[in-house]
Formats: sequence, C-alpha cells, structure tokens
Amino acid sequence: MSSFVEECRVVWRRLGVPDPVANEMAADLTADLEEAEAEGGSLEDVLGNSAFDASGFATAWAQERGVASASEPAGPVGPEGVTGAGRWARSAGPGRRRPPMAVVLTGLFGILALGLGLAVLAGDRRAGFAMVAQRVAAGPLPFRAGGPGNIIAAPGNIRVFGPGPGFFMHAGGVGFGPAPLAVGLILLVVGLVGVGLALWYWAPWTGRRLRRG
Amino acid sequence: MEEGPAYGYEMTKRLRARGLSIVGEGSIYPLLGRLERDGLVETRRAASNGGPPRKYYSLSGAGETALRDGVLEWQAARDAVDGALGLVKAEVAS
Repeated sequence: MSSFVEECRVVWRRLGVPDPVANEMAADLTADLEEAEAEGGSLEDVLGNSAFDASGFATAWAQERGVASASEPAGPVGPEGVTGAGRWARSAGPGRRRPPMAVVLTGLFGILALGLGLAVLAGDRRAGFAMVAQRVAAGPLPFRAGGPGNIIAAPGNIRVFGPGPGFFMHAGGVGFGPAPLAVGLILLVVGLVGVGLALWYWAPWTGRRLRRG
Repeated sequence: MEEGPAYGYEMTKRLRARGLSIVGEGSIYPLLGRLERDGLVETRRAASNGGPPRKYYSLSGAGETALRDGVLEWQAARDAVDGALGLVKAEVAS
C-alpha cells in the first residue's frame, strides 16, 4: 500500500502540487489505507478500480481539488486505458511528448516544401491571373483540343492556357504539366503547415526538457 | 455527510453500509476534492479513534443548499422515471 502512495507522490510532484498539500493528501490516504488494512481490507476496498491506476487516481484527485499547476491528462490510464477521444487528445494535442525524429522530419519536409514552392513561384514569372491567349505564328499545329483558343500546341514548345485566374498551365517541350502557380502555392501551404506543426509540437517538448534540465 | 463530519474512508464505509459502492466506479477522494474546491464542504483536522489526525469533511452553507437542490432534482427525475415505468407496467399487465 505504501508503494501506491509513493507512486501518487511522484505524480503530484510532476503535476506541481505544492509540497504541503501533497504531504497532506499522502497522509490522509496513508491513514485510510492503514485503517482498511487493520480491518482486513485491501487497497481495492478503499479505492475501487483506482487501486490499479495510481497515476490516474493521483491526477484526478489533484485536478479535482484544483491543486495541480501543470497540465496532465485526466481520466484513467490504467488497465482500462483511456477512451478513444482521450487517446487522440493525448497523442495529438500540444504539450505531449513527441518522438523527436517525427518532429524533425516534419519540420524538414516543411522547409523543403517551402523552398520548392518559393523556387517554383520565383522561376515562373509568367504565372498570371489573367486569361492568356497566344497564337502560334508559324508551322502546322500538331495538336489542338478544348474550347476555342483554349489549348494551343506547337512542336517543341507546348503551352496550355487555362480558362481563368490561376489556371495558367505550362510545360516545356513535352507533355502537359500542372500550373506553376498552383504547384507553388500548394507547396507553400504544405511547407507552412509542416513547419507550423513542427513548431507546435517541438516548442512544448523543448520547454519541458529545459524545465527538467 | 449530513449525518455528521466524516473522513474519506469513513464516508466510503457509510456509503457501503447503504449499498452504495461508488468507490467501485472510481474513488471518493477526487469527489471530495471537487466539493472542497467548490466550497461545498468545510474541512477540519482532528484526531480519530486511536489513529493519526484525520481530515473531517462536513457540509458548508453552500453545500447544504446544493444538497437540498440536488435532492429536489433527484426526486423530480425519479418521479418522472417512476411515471414512465408505471405506464410500462400497466401495459405489460394488460
């Protein structure tokens, strides 16, 4: 039974429960457990299912009493585990410890995507927002499709002009590629999201390490 | 608690004696912690029978009001359920 109380103390310390309050809670719990033991009872007789989950019990008690200064997931974390929503919140929310490699990779991919997006946008100065029409001056047209003037192709220099803003498409020489503007913007958004996620996850994790250090 | 101040384990035993084993669903300690935080109970530390000093809980003024309100709400809910079950019972009998 004393090991259960010690486990609770560790949790309370982690939660930032002031020492006098933690001592009082531990003393009350110890006295109750000793009384139950003297009457032939067990830990479970006093605590019910919480007897199998010292961490969840100590967390719930401190949080319900309003003496926990550090955030920690509430609810059972014992054999029953947490609920689906609780598990998601614990794994997805900020403030939880992340596998550092996943965070680093997310950040690197984000930076890479940002760089690519900027490069694509900077390299394609022709990306415009107006409908573009171009006629091929000479030579037979090997390929024409779509609406009138919508797609014009020429040997060695294929250009496709979309129907409106943001749909300008261009591919150099062979085949048709996606619009540089759209690709650049998508890469920018993906990059920003990646970097943002990495920062979101990394900041609290780093903060916890610094506090512990 | 209305019967008189009690410490945690004492309350557990009182509830068990009345067939309410709420500790099976969790624990009475977080519940008492919440009541204390909300000012619904008052606490004092006093010696127990031959044991170490214990923390005794008793209802505060706000706690007594909350208890009265809670009892009224419970009775209203119970009456509603009883009414519904009465209809079911009548249908089953007929």
